[in-house]
Amino acid sequence: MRCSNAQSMIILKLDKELRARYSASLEKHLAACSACRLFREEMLSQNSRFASLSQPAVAPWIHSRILDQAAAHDNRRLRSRMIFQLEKIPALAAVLLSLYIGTLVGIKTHNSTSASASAQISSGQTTEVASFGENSLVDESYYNGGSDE
Amino acid sequence: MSKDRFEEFLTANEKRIYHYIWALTHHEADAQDVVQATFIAFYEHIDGIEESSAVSYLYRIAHNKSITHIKQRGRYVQTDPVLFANLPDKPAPAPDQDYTPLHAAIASLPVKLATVIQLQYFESLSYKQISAQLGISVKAVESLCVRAKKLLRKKLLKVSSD
Repeated sequence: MRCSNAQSMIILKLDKELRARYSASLEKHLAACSACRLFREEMLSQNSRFASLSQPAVAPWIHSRILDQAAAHDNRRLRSRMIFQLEKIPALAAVLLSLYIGTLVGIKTHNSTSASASAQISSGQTTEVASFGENSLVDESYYNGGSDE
Repeated sequence: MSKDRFEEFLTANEKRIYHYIWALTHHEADAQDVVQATFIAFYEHIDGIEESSAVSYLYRIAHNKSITHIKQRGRYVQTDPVLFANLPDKPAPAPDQDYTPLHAAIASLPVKLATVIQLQYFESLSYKQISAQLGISVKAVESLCVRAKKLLRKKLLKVSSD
């Protein structure tokens, strides 16, 4: 067994997390290796130093302060959402207004064109309507090789 | 994670996060500021956080917030000429009395290793419990723990030799 593997196993063993099947080979290595025995002693001392380390107490007001800030955050988000929804109202009004104006303009234009058309019909000015297949743009002489016969 | 569970989550984690931040900032008032900022940042994104990785995520936020805070503290400029003349060479405030080289060694570890060490040394959690807290496998916890303790040993040996 290599020392680096043995040292990893020592750490696991001190944490009571080493699988039983590795214990025997680790003990065998430790019996033969003074460097790993020293490592075990150092790790034991390190563990006990950390276990006795004092940790500062958390100020009791921090808990309630964080909850207050979270509630304030919710309020801010709710308010901004409401403002966003309020912004929708003028946008919707603008859309409806443009639809209404567009409809009015359309009706007015339609009425004026139909009125002028009916005025033309009543005055006898009719437009000639080309029937299907009739060519009104090209002169007939074009098809007759340029002669008028 | 749902917002309803935030208070319970806060109660379960505020102490350990405070200790971690305190180890990074060396200062009680700074740690109090940063712990609040950490939990609020967590709360802002709580809807998108998986329950299984919430503690890891919280440690990551705490680490980043602490580093940002330390950098900002270093950038603080004193404009009063009298105070400026009496400024110490190092801008960082003096560490609290309880702060020891052991805390400094933990603070110098990468966030994942420091998290595992915190949970193992100070809360005496088993590897299985740590894996459940952090949402990682027991094998990963084993590996992190071994790496962290070897690194701590090296750092402490260096400190004692200095």
